Amino acid sequence: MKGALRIGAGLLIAVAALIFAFAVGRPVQVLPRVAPAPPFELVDASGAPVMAPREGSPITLYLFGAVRDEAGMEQVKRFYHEASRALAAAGYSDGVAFSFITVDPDHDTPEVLRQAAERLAVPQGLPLSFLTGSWVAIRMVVGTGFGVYFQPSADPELPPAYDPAVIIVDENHVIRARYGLDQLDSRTLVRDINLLAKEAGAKGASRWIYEGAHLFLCYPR
Amino acid sequence: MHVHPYERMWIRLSAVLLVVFGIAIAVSSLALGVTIPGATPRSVATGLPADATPSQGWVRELGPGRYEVNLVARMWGFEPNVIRVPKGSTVTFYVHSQDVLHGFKIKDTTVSMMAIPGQVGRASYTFEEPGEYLYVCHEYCGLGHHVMSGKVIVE
Repeated sequence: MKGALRIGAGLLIAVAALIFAFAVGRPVQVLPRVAPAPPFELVDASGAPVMAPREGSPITLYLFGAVRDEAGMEQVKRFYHEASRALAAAGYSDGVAFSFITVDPDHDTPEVLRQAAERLAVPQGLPLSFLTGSWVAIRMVVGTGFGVYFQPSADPELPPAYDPAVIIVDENHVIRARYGLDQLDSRTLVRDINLLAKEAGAKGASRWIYEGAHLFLCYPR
Repeated sequence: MHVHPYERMWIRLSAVLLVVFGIAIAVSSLALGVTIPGATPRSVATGLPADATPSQGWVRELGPGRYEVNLVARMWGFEPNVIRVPKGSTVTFYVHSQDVLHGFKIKDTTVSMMAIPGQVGRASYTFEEPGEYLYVCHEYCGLGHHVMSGKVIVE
């Protein structure tokens, strides 16, 4: 009886110590599941409908902006080029895509977006789609869905005010990270994509370890 | 001295727990760099709206049914102290303190956090029922602590 109690207590302590080591040491890290990304149906620069979520979606980096905002577009271009280069160097030539959603839908027609896409293109760049839609659709997707602030300017000649942001959405259409466009460096981006790719590739028992990592908030710092 | 075996077992278990907690504190502070909050801004979460600063409070609509509040706590009041949103809205609060440690708790909701100088607290809540939701400072912050309040009016 006494021996069994000791063994039981020992096992309990060992399990507690293991859990504790897992939570503190964070040998497996994940990005938080922030919220489901909003479903949408928008149109791309060719006028073709684009829907999300859809089967087999890649990890997608959503960017937001207005073509009329030249400084903002320059920032998007710089980010896209640097991120493409870094991700390609890390071996993510496919499986990751970029989507630019306009916050200026009345101005940014598919034709305007097509011209912007040509200006942003880069030879070895990862796929980049430009999306627009009706004002209501954009408001629902960008504002309500992604939680990115934008507000039309009182002067219709000026682009809307908005928060430049990057939102990382995984292949299950779940928001996993959000950064300010000027906050996300290539190293952090590659780290985040690595974490998502490893988690997506986890099968069987390792799947449960990743769920444990979510349970114990094993997020990168 | 005779100690009952069960009592001895619990004493040992308590000692083990003390050691575990001691190691946890050492690892947290030495290896993970966890420190107690200081006057210097220690961390600003990524992905905050560009205007989420402690300088001014505001409420803004992101889209139908979604709002953001930049809430500034200072001795002894909140800015803004009245927030109006439609029923069913999801509101994300970014909470700052401009001076000392404050608290931010919205009655009858799950929103409860500390407002630590130099850091930004974030919490979201969906207000399903119309009514007035009182929010208060629930960390003693000085003489006027008891008057530090505001309300979310859900219409």
